[in-house]
Amino acid sequence: METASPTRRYQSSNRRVTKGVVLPGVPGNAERSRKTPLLEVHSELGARMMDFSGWAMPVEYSGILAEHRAVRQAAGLFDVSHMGEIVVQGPEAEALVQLAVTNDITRLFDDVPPATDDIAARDYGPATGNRAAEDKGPVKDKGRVTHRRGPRKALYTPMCNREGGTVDDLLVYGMGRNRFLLIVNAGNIKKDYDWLRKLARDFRLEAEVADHSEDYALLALQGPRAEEILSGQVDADLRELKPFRFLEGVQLTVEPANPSGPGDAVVPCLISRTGYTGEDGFEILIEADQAVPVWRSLLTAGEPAGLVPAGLGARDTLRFEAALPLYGNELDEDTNPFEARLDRFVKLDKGEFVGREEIRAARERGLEKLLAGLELTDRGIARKGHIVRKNGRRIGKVTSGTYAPTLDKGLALAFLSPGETQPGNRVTVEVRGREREAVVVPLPFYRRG
Amino acid sequence: MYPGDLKYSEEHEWLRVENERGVVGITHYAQDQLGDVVFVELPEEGEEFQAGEVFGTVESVKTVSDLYMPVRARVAQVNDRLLDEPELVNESPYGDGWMLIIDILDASEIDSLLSVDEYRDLVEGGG
Repeated sequence: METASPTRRYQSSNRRVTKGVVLPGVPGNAERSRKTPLLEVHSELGARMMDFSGWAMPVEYSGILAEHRAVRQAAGLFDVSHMGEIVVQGPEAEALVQLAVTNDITRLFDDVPPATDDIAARDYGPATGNRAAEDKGPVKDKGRVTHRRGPRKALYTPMCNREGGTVDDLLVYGMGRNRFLLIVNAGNIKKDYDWLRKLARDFRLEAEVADHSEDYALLALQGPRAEEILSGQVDADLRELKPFRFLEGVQLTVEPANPSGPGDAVVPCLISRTGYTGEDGFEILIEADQAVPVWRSLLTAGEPAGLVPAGLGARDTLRFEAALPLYGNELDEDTNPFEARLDRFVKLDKGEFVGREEIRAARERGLEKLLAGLELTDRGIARKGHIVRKNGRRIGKVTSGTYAPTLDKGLALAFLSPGETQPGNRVTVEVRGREREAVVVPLPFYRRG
Repeated sequence: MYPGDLKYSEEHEWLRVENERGVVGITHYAQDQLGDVVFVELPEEGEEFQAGEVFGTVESVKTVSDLYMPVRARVAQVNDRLLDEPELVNESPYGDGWMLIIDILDASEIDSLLSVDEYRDLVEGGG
């Protein structure tokens, strides 16, 4: 809700007018939104809910600052079930994904022997725990139970349109040479699904694209104590799971729903060492109907270590401090990955992909804008859309801005003219009609450890 | 939640009247709706505002909200503690989180404000 001039007398309802929620969401009435399987849990915990990309999601439980600090110091548990799970499989699945994304997905298999990994014929879900014939289940190895099947790889990548703008940013999990799980942003599920199907048709690739988002729930357990907390609940050795690796068919212990009923149950899950907070952590993919017992068990198990439920408010301040892009802010259909400083996820030499020539040419011509970090040296908090000026001349615009709790400062990400992005450059940001002093600072704002 | 010695506005400010002066802040309900307050912008001493005019802003992590003067007034004093400790608005909205001391310029406007019972109805009646 935007106000008009500052002196207009507020007239309408009995509610405080807010100048706009700076998260990409709408506060308050989330009744017509889609629900994740964890809605009842969020209600029980007293979460403040809002609509995010058409989903009713928790913004905060105990408070954004408290949750943010808990993730940096101990651990937080996030419901990110609104995100999408798209599976691409078939004889030319690899070709389709390789064509669609900018990163090189052949790297997903560079340390995995091809023969034992090709299970394309089986249609099993990532989290069901059905294993390929040669995987004989857990084996004891020096007293530790390990899976015969070792960790596989995931990677982060933008996906471009034909003009070199960004359709979405996503994670690709190499389930098999002909089977890929794509975890995509909630607001782009249908767009990405339609886009991939169109590419398959346009390039006549024999690959099926299926949207399994409704079948799964996704939880993120993030923070320095995440490994310790999760290790106690699973039968896998998480110390061996490196960043951007994942394990399937992990058995996660859950408390029984009925305390006097049978003992602990186990739920099969896919666990990846990935996240969106700048801390160590895991994302846990489970079947949707297991979401509630898994959530409750993890919260209980993690409580002694300081685990708290954390909402999208903290998720945004955390990712912001780590300078991770948010689609809709730092990335959109008019922004190419180089402008968002995602160069290391773009492999121009891997072969053809959609948008490749456009983004190569854009870089050679000289980019029109480049992402930079700003620190407000004046009082004030810059927000998305605020204009950035140098000596009165407009040089760019804020894409995300907030009070950064770990750093105790007002910070912003902004697209600036490339010549203005050197750290130390003094600029101003127009915050609600007043020019506030700011300075360009290096990215990321925060790095753990 | 609803101190009885205060008057309230529909925009969730409170006013404590002390002869011709008043103290202004935002209510418990307002700070709860906002979430963690991280920044408060207040006017200068000596500035004058009409009833209902925006005199500043209060910002939480995720929202920015205008502050509305409850009665026509001149700013006598500003709570400087809020510059470095904006969380006082959450912790003590009726105490240390006060925002302004004002000279009330039109005392008749005080009657247009809500009583504690009317404000409670506003908040709890689904407003």
